[in-house]
Amino acid sequence: MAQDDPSSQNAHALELLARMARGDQSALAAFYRLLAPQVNAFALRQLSDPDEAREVTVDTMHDVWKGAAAFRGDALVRTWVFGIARHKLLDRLRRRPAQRTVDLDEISEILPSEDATPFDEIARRQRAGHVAHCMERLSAEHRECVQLVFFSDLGLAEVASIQNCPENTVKTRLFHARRNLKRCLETRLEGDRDD
Amino acid sequence: MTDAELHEARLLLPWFVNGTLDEAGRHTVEAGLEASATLRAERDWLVALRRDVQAETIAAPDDAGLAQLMQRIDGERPANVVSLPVAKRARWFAPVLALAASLVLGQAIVIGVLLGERDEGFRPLSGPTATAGDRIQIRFQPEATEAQIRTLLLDIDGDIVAGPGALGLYTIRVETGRSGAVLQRLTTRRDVVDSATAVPR
Repeated sequence: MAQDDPSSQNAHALELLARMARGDQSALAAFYRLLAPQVNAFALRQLSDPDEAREVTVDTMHDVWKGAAAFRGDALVRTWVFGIARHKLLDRLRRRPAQRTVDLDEISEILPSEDATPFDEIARRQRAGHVAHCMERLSAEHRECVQLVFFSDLGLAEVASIQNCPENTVKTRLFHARRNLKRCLETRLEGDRDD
Repeated sequence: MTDAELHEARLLLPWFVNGTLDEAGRHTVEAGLEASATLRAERDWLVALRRDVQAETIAAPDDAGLAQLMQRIDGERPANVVSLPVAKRARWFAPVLALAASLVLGQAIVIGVLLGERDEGFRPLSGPTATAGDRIQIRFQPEATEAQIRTLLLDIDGDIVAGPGALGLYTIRVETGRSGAVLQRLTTRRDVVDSATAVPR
């Protein structure tokens, strides 16, 4: 994702938070322009509903406004903001009626081995459409992890903080997500070959 | 390299690919990449995966979200705080946002023109002069005019050497050793400058 480097973004966000703590609404507008696109993308990928994603974004920014004075700077500002957004997302997802999702582990059982298709062939042939399809079929936890690392470019410690779990859990979680994505892509590419 | 080290390198590979790994982690992955062709192929796949994940364009939230947020905050203000009534603000807020957006666009064009006019001071970034001087990252106020920006740049004797970035930041070059004084000066020009920070050398 194209953006200025995280340290300068964080410095700017901190400055805006300080102004927001003093009640400066223009700082909130600037903060919104700085981080709302990332929060909205994160929410939209989880919810697949633009209106709901915007509501999550607005709710998140509202909490940021109210909590600006309390932010102690223990984490990067965006980590804090993503953490707030994640709580709001989880609330919404919990309220949704249960949906049947295809368990990619079921797919893995019918494939002969993990290395059925070499990585380089998948890298060469995969398309964004296939990736989006397979992302949809990941569990919410795996999908979130993939998004935070590959879309938002967050570091290991940041993801662990947002997902509220140890770093080793994040590493293992993403390892399984990668395996499931690869297997899903293999089946999609097999389909392409058959067409 | 042991199997355990190779496994650790594989676990860390995604953060190697997104460029956020610390030095120790980078060394672990680099050693793994040197030892394993499979790991190198997986790295290439993850690079392609990251590219494809990011290729899906996500529209930024529209101005309605910001307007909604501002209205909610205005509604929560204590009665003794002077503020425009919510209904009145709602009417002018959308056009103001549109105007602000057009000013940002206009600002980018004006700065492009300024760069074009300042042939004498403009130097290619790859030349030796590009490395001289202190750097300051700056964001101008959306409503700052071309005349204000021009005057400010002349005042601090600064050149725009990069920008705007995705966040609207410009990099200004000033004489070596002057960044502290220039930052002080910029703090007095809040009418033109939204934020400014020194770039570490």
